Amino acid sequence: MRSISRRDFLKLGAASTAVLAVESQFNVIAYAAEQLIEGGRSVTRASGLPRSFLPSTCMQCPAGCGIIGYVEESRVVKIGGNTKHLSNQGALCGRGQAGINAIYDPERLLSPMKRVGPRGSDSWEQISWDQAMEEVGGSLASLKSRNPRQLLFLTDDIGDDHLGQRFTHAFGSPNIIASIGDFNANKLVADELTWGASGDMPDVANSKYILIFGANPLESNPQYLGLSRRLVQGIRDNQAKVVVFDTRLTNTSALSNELHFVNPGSLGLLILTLANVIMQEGLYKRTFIEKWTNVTPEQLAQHLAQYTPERAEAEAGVEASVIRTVATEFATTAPATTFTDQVLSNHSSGVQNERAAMLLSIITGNIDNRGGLCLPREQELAQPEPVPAPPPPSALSNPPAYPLASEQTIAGTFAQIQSREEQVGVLISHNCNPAYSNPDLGLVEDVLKDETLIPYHVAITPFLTETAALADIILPETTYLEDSDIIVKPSPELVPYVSLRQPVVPPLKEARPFFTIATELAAIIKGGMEQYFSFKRVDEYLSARIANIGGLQAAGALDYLKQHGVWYDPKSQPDYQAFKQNGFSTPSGRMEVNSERIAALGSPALPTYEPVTFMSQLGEQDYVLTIFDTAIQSDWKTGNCMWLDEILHRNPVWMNPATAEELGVEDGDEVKLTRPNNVGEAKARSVTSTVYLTEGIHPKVIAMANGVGHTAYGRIAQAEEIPYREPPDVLQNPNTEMIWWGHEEPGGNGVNPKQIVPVTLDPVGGGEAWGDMVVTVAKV
Amino acid sequence: MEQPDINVVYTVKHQLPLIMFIGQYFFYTGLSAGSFVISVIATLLGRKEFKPIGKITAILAPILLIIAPLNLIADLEQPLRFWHLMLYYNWTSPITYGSFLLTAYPIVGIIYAIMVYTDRQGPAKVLGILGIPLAISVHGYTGFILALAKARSLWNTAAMPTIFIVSAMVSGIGLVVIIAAIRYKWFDKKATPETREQDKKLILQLAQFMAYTIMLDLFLIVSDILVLLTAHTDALEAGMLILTGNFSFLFVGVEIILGALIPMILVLGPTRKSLTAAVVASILVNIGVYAMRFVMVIGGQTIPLS
Amino acid sequence: MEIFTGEAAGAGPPKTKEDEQVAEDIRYGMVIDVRRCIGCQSCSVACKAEMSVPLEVFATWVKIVERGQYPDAQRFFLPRLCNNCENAICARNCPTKASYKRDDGVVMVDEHRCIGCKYCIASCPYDVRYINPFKNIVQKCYWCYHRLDAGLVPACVETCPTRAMIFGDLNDPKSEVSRVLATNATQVIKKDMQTEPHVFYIGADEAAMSNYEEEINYFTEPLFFPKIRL
Ligand SMILES: Nc1nc2c(c(=O)[nH]1)N[C@H]1C(S)=C(S)[C@@H](COP(=O)(O)OP(=O)(O)OC[C@H]3O[C@@H](n4cnc5c(=O)[nH]c(N)nc54)[C@H](O)[C@@H]3O)O[C@H]1N2
Ligand SMILES: Nc1nc2c(c(=O)[nH]1)N[C@H]1C(S)=C(S)[C@@H](COP(=O)(O)OP(=O)(O)OC[C@H]3O[C@@H](n4cnc5c(=O)[nH]c(N)nc54)[C@H](O)[C@@H]3O)O[C@H]1N2
Ligand code: SF4
Ligand code: SF4
Ligand code: SF4
Ligand code: SF4
Ligand code: SF4
Ligand SMILES: [Mo]
Repeated sequence: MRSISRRDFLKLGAASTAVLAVESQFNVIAYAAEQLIEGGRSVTRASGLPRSFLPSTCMQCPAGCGIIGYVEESRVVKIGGNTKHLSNQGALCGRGQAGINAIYDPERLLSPMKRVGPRGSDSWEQISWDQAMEEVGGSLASLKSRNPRQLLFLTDDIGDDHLGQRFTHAFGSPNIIASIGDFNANKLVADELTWGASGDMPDVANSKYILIFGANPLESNPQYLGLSRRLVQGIRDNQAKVVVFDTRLTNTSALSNELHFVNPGSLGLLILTLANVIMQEGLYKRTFIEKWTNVTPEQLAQHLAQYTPERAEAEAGVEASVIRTVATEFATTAPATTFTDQVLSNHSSGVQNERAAMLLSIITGNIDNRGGLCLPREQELAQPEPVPAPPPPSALSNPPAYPLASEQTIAGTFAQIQSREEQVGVLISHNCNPAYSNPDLGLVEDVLKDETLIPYHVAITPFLTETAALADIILPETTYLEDSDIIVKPSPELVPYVSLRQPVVPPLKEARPFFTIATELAAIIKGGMEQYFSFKRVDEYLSARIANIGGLQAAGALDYLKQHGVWYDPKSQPDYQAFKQNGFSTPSGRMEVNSERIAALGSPALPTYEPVTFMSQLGEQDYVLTIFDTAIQSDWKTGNCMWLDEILHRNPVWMNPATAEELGVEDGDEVKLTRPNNVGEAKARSVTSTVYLTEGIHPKVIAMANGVGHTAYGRIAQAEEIPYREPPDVLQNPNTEMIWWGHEEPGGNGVNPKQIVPVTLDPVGGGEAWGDMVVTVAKV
Repeated sequence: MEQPDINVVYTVKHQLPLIMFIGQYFFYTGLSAGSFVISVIATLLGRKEFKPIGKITAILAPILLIIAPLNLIADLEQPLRFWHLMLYYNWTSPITYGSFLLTAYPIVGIIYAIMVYTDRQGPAKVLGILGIPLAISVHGYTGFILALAKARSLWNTAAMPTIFIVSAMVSGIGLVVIIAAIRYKWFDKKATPETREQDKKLILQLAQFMAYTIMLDLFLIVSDILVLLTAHTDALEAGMLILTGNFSFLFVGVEIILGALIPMILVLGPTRKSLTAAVVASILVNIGVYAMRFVMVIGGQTIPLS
Repeated sequence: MEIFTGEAAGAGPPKTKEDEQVAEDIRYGMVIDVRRCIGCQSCSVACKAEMSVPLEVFATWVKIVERGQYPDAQRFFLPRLCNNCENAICARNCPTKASYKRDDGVVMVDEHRCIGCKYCIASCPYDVRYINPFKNIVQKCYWCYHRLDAGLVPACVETCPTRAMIFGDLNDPKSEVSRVLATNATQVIKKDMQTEPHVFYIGADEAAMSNYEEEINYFTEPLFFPKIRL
C-alpha cells in the first residue's frame, strides 16, 4: 500500500471544491483502498459519495482553528479540520467538532423576542424583525442624539469583534468592552511593559527545556490545538524536558518529566528564586542582558538575592534542591522557554508575576529565538475606510485608576455601573455571557435586572443564555457556522496567517448575521453612522479588511480565502530575533526589566514578589479555590453541546485525601465552599458540590472545573426537563431528548463556582485576580 | 478485594447486554429439561405408581419449553427478526446450536407426551431415550452460552454447562414435587388410601433424590469457586464478587443457604417424612435456582471489562 | 515552510517508485502511541459525529486513570475502541453472522441481519459494543469503513491533534503502521484473550489496561424488563 505523506496531500490539497467535483472516480467505492489520506475530505456513510464542503473558522474557543464544514442537503453534518490551516493543521478538538450541536441546539433562538413580564421573568413574545429593528433602532437613535457615550457594548473574549468595535465607535461611544480583558489582562500589561507587545508565543516545538507555570496547554490554552500539538512535538520529537509547576495534576503534567506542586499564589516567589539561582551561579547571558535590557546583571543579582531557595522552600513549598536543579538545567539547556497563561497573572500581583516569568527567558537569552520565548506574530488587518475615529476614552472604557490596562474588564465594568459612577443608556450584549462567566454573578444579575442602571438591554445572541435572559429584547444572531468574518490570531508556528469565517450553511430560519444586524441598525440610527456601514454585501467588508495584505491579494484575495479558508505566505519562515535589527517597541528600544512606568504607579520597578497577604497566611480552615478549564468544555460557550456535556457535565470538588481526612469528609460527600468575610465582595457566599478525592491536588487547594453549572441556556446545558419550546423541524434531533446525566446519581449539570468569586483586580494591571480565591470547606 | 493504587478519573458506562429475560429463559429450559428427565425415568422404569408423575412431567416439559424461548425472543432488540436465527445460522455460535435444539426438542417432547398419554409404552420409551440427550443439550448449551463468552470470568469455566444441567435437574425435580403434591392434595379423586400412601412415598423419594442432586450441585459449585479463587486475577475478582461483593447476599444467602442447604436439611433431616417439608424444600430450591440464574447472568456482567 | 512536522506520527518518507505498488491483500491496523496522547477526547467526539453514535453509548472513549500518591501522583490515558480482532470472538459467537470480518480485517455488523441478541456484547472482552437505542441493533467501531473505502483514514485518526493514532495496512511493510510496529515495543489489551487485537498501543500504562475498577452496580437498572426504547 502506498502511504501518502501529508506533504503530498498538501499538493493534492490544491484540489479544492472544483477539483473534487471533477474527480468522479472517487465515487466508486474502491474497496481495497490503496491510499489513506488524512484530512480534508469526508464521504457519506450510505453512498460513499464525497460530501460538499466549505472551509471556515472555528469559534468554540479563542484559538480560531481552520475548520471544514461538510454539508448534506444544506445541513452541516460534520465539522473537520482544515489541513492547510497553520494552527490546527487538520486536527480538531472535541469542542470544534461539537459545533454541530450548537448550530442545531433545539432551543436555539430563531426569531426576535421581546420580554413581556418583568426583566428576568423569562416570558417572551415573538416579534417580527421589522418590529425588533424599529424598536432597537429607535432607542439607539434617541440615545445617539441624547448622549452616544452612554452606549455600552459588551462582547466576546476572543477579540474577534472588530465589527462591534466599529459599530460602537461609529455610534460615538468608547465603551466597547470585551471579556478578553478578563482572562489575562495583567499578563498583557506585563508583556507590553517589558517588550512592547501584548502577549507571547513560546516556540515549544523547537525547545529543549520548557518550564510551565500554572498553565495547562494540553487541556486549555488560548491557542489550544496549535500549541498542544507543538508542545507534544517538542516533548516527543525534540525530546524537550518539561517541568510543570501547578497546584493540580493535569493532562499537561501527564506528558511532562516533572510536576512540582507549588503553594497556591506563590508562583511569583518561585520564579524569582529560579532567576536568583541562575544569577548567583553565573549561568546568565551577560551580553544579552547588557545589550538588550535596561538593567545590568549586577543590579539584577543584587535585587534577586533576597529570593533564596530556602525561603522559597518555606513559602512556595518546593524543595530548595529542586529549585537549584531546575534553575541550573533551565539555564544550561538551550534553547529553553517559559510557558505561562492567564493563571499566573490572575492574582493581585499578576503583572509582577508575569514580569518575573519573562525575566527567566531574558537572563538566559531565550528571547525570540528558535525554541525560546517569542514575540507574538499576528497578521495585521486593514480598517475599511472610512474609519470611525475612536471617541475619547471614558471612565468606563479605560478606568483612570489603571492607566496601563488597554481596556476595562467586564467585572470592573459591572462594579462601576452599580456604584453609579458611570451611566448607561443602552446595553448591547453580543456573543458574551457575563451573567454566567463573570466573577460575582450576583452583582452582574443585580445590575442587569435594575432598570435604573440598565434602562434598555439588547441581547444579540443565538441562544437564550443567562445574560440574554435578562434582556429587554433579543435579536437572534447566527452561530459562527452561518457567519462571516476575517480572523487573525497569534500564530503558534510564528508565521502570521489570515483565516476566513464564512457561512457553511445559510442562516437558519430568521437568524441574521451580526453584519446584517449592525448594517441595518446603522441605517436606522443614521446621524452620520450609516457612512461607516455602507457595504452592500459582507464580501465588501471582508475584502476591505484584507486589502493591506499584498501576498494574499496576489494569490486571489477573498476568493482565495473562500476556497482555502486560510492564507499565509508559503515561503515565509519564522523571522526569529528581528529585534536585533529594529529593537523592541518599548520607549527605550530594549526590554524594560526595570520599568519606570510601573514604578510610577507605586509598584517596584524590578520584578518583585508581592505576596497576596491572605493567601500566604492561610488559616487552618482556609483553602484556595482553583477554577480550571478542561479539554472538554470551553469555559465559555460550549455548555449547549450535548456531545461535550455527555463527557463533562459536573464539577465535583477536587480534594486531596489528606484534606478530606482533616475535614472528616469522604468521596462523594456533599460539601459547602464558603467565601470568608475578609476577601472581597460577592453576593453569593457559598456553593455546594460533591467531593472527588484525588491524589493529584495540593492539600491546601480545592479545585473545580469551569464550563458547567448553567442556570439558563436550555435543557442541554441545564440537563433538566425544563419546559421548552417545541423545536422547529430543522432543530429536531432525538438525541436531545436523551440527556441522561440529569437523572444520574448524583444528577445534574454541576454548579457555577464563579458566583462566590469576588471582583478583585490587580492594582497595577487592572486585570482580574480571581486566582486569589480563598474558601472554607464544610460538610453539609 | 484490595484496591490497587489506581483511581479511574474517566471511563464510560456500558450497557448491561443481558437482562433477566435471559436468566428466566435459562430457568425455564432448566425446569423443562429436569421434568423431561424425570418423566423419561418414570416411563423407563415402567412402574404403575410412577405413571401419574410421568404424565405430568411429560406435559410440563414441552409447555415450559415453549415459554422459555418466548423470554429469549422478548429479549431480542429486534424480536421480529428471530427467524434470522434459522436462516443465517452460524455453526461457531452456541446460540445457533441452541436454536436448532430448541426446535427439535419440543417436537420430540410433544410426540413423546402424546405417546405417554395414549399409553404407547414402546414408542414412548424410544422417544424418551432419544429425547434425554436433547433435553440435556438444550439445557447444557445455555451453560455453553455463558461459558463460551470467555471475557466474563464468572462464566468462563468448564464446569458451567454441568452446573447448569445439574441445577436444572434440581429445579426440575423440585417443580415435579410441587405439582405432584398439589395433585396428591386436591386433584387425586379416584385414589384409594393405598395408592395415596404410595404416592406420598413416591413424592418423598423424589424429594430425597432432589437432595442428592443438590449435593452434586453443591460439589460442582464449590469446585468451580475454588478454581475461580485460585486462577487469574479476573477470576479471583469474579469469585470475590459472589462471595463478598455485591452478589454475596444472593449467592451465599439465597442460592446456597436458602436454596440448597435448608432444603437438604428439610428433606433429609428430622422432617424427612413430612410432605409439607418436601414441598417447602422444593419451593426453596426453585427460588435458589432462580437466584443462581440471576447471580450468573447479571452478576457475571458486573465485572467491568474495560 | 514545512508544516505537519510530527515526524514520529507524521509524514512518511519521500515517495519512490516502489511505493506505488499496491499490496495484494490489506490487513488494517492501528497503533496508538499513548506517549503522544493528551487525553483531549477529540477522538471520542469525532466518532460521535462520524458514525452518528447516539448519546448514552460510545464506540470509542479515552479512559483516564490516576496512580501514585501525592506528590508523585501521575495520570495516564488509554484511548479505547474496538480492536477489530483477527480472532474476533464476537463474530464467532454471533448466531446470525450479522457480525463478520471483512477481507481487510474490519469486523462489521450487518444492520439488517442483526437480531439484537447482544451475545456479541457479552462475548467481547473489551466492552466496545453497544446497542444503538434508535436502531435497536448492536454497533461498534467499524474503523470508519466507509472512509477506508474512499481512501481516507478513520475520523478519530484524522482529528487527533498530536497524531497519537496511526492507521494503515499491516501487510504492507512500508506503511507507517508497519514501520512503527517494527521499530517500537507494542502492547495489546488482554493479550491472554487470544483475540489478536489489531489495535496496538505504545507506552500504555498496564494498570490502565487492566479492567481494574469497582464492580459496576447494575441494581438500579431495569433488570427484569427491557428498557423501553423510543
Ligand atoms: N480546551 C479548552 N481550551 C481553552 C479553554 C477551555 O475552556 N477549554 N478556554 C479558553 C480561554 S477563554 C482561555 S482564557 C484559556 C485559558 O487557559 P489557561 O490560561 O491555561 O487557564 P486554566 O486552564 O484555567 O488554568 C491553567 C492551570 O493553572 C493552574 N492553576 C490555577 N491556579 C494556580 C495557582 O495559584 N498556582 C499554580 N501553580 N497553578 C495554578 C490550574 O490548575 C490549571 O491547571 O484557554 C482557552 N482555551
Ligand atoms: N472565576 C473565574 N471567572 C472566569 C474565568 C475563570 O477562570 N475563573 N474565566 C474567564 C475567562 S478566561 C473568560 S474567556 C470568560 C468567558 O466569558 P464570556 O466571553 O462571557 O463567555 P461566555 O460566557 O461563554 O459567552 C459566550 C456566549 O456566546 C454565545 N455564543 C455561543 N456560540 C455562538 C456563536 O456561534 N455565535 C454567536 N454569535 N454567539 C455564540 C453564547 O451565548 C455564549 O454564552 O470567563 C471568565 N470568568
Ligand atoms: S481549539 Fe478552539 S478553535 Fe480549535 S477546534 Fe478546538 S474549540 Fe475550535
Ligand atoms: S484525539 Fe488523540 S490525543 Fe486526543 S485523546 Fe484521542 S488519541 Fe489522545
Ligand atoms: S474488540 Fe470485541 S467487538 Fe471488536 S473485534 Fe474484538 S471481540 Fe469483536
Ligand atoms: S446482537 Fe446482532 S451482531 Fe450481536 S450476536 Fe446478536 S445478531 Fe450478532
Ligand atoms: S475508527 Fe471510526 S468508528 Fe472507529 S472509533 Fe474511530 S471514528 Fe469511531
Ligand atoms: Mo478566556
